Amino acid sequence: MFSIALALTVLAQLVFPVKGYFGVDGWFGFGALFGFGSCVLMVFGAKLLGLVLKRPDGYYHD
Amino acid sequence: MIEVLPPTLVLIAGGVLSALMRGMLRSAVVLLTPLITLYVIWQVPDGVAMTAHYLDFTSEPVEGSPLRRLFASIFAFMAFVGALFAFRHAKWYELAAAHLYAAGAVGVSFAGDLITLFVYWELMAIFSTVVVWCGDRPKVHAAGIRYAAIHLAGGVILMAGIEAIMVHTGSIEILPLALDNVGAWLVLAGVLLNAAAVPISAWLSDAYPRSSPTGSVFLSAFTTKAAVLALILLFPGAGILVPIGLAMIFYGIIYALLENDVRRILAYSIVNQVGFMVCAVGIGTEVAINGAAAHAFAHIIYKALLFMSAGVVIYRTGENLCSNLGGLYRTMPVTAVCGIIGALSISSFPLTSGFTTKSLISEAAQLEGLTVVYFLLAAASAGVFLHAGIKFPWFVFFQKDSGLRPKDAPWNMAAAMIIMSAACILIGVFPEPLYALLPYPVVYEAYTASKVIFYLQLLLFSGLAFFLLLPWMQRTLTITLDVDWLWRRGLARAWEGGTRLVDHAAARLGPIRKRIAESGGSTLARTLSPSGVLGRSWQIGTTALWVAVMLLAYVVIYML
Repeated sequence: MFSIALALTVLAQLVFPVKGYFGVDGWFGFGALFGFGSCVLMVFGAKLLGLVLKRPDGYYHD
Repeated sequence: MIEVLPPTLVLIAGGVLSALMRGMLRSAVVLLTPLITLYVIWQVPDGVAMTAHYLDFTSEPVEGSPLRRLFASIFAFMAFVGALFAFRHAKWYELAAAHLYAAGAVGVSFAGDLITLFVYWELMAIFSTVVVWCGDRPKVHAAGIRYAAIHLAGGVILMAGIEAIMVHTGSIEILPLALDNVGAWLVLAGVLLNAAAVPISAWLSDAYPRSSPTGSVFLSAFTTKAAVLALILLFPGAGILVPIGLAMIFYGIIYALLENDVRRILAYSIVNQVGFMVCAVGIGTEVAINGAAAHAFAHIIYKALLFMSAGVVIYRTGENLCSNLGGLYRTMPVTAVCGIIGALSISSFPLTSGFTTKSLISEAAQLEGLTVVYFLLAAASAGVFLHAGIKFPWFVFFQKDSGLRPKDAPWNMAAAMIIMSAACILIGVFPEPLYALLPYPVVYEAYTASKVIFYLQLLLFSGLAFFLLLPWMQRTLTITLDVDWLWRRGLARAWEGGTRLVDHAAARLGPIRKRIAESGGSTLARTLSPSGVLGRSWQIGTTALWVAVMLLAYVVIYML
């Protein structure tokens, strides 16, 4: 059902064109790609930062 | 001159009175005071409504304007719903402190001069610390001290800035300040500290999650949003706020993604959301200021709602880690549904308050042609859905069956959550009444097919990313280091390192010093002893020769 919703939001763009303010954001499926891509980047970024900054739960209490 | 009863006095009186009462009477005082305050707030006219003299200055303790009334109203409303949520479960001194804390925020809202602002600023610092300290001992003790230390230091910076401005301009009036003198910069630093701006954001995620399940509801609302109001009044259009706001936005997302503690996830997302407002103040146009004010209003409601939902879970289960929770929707449907409404609102899902308020900020960036800022805000909206919109409800209410079967919220907590949920949806579906309260006229259509489709794509595909990356999102029993490492560990490390270095150096230098002392001693003895060069008596001729040499050297140096 989730995948149907995903497909519908993109296909809806065929009926109601998305008005882009800066060109690229009016492209077909831009919102979908941008949302997905930026989330993947943020999760990877967090993962990398975690490698450096993560400590065990009791770090400050030991 | 007094034209009106200062609204903040009502809250102060209510707070003090509630501490003296018992039982039903206290509950009545706690619940009615914010409502009376709300009425008094709407009696404050535009312009200066009260003046007083302090030293050589004319202080303006109450100054009204649409913007000030908007912030004061949401603070008073928050005090009411927070009291409804808390009054049967919180300690009496937590309730009294929460009212005095809210009084500080309402006082800041109407402060017409910097001295009044400072007084209420400190009132907030003191009573928010008391609210923090009402949490679980013993862990909260040290966190409360760190919280108080940071805010008192922030107060000192703010006061220094205010004094510099008093000396510089001779005026204490609250007006937009140009960042061309050290006083203005110090005031900005003091205000930004309360807004939890990077790099000093760690106090918020350190202290708030350790407060009581009811206390964090109050804490989430006042300090940071009063700081946003101060930024709007003092630094509208200060360009430096744009990058600071953006840094806060992404700091909040990244740290929340790494976090396991439910309320700490929400605490990081306060920094993230306040980042949107700080960025908007930096853009500084009428649309942007409207956006900052509207977003602050909506944010207080949905963030309190999220903290209420998390608070009920912690109150019922005693658990605050994602890794120990899950599957609670079975027995806590009201808490789950309200939590999901809060989560959708913070993610600015269409038909919720986040959509109709936060999009004003994106609109402002777009109108100013700030392409990079616009796309970063869009990416951040996706990130908010990722770290708070899905992560919070998923790990708490769904995910796995943790085996926990807690009861749903007590009636008063449920009522408070339902009021806040209704407000989130009302502002989302009918934003016009809120738009009418904003400081500038709003010419903005929130719901166009284009915008709705763009945001739905953005958010739903962030959801897809969340579930595809779920193995990477599983929480571990870890914390993430922040700048507060510097004073929680770094200072002690530096001190230990310093003393070790000194000891080491002393051990190394010991023999050398001894050798120098010995050789130096013998040289001195040779020179100064009765038979040494300087000790024995010289012949007159030799002395005269040396005097001549000295004189010659002097003349040569003088001539040069």
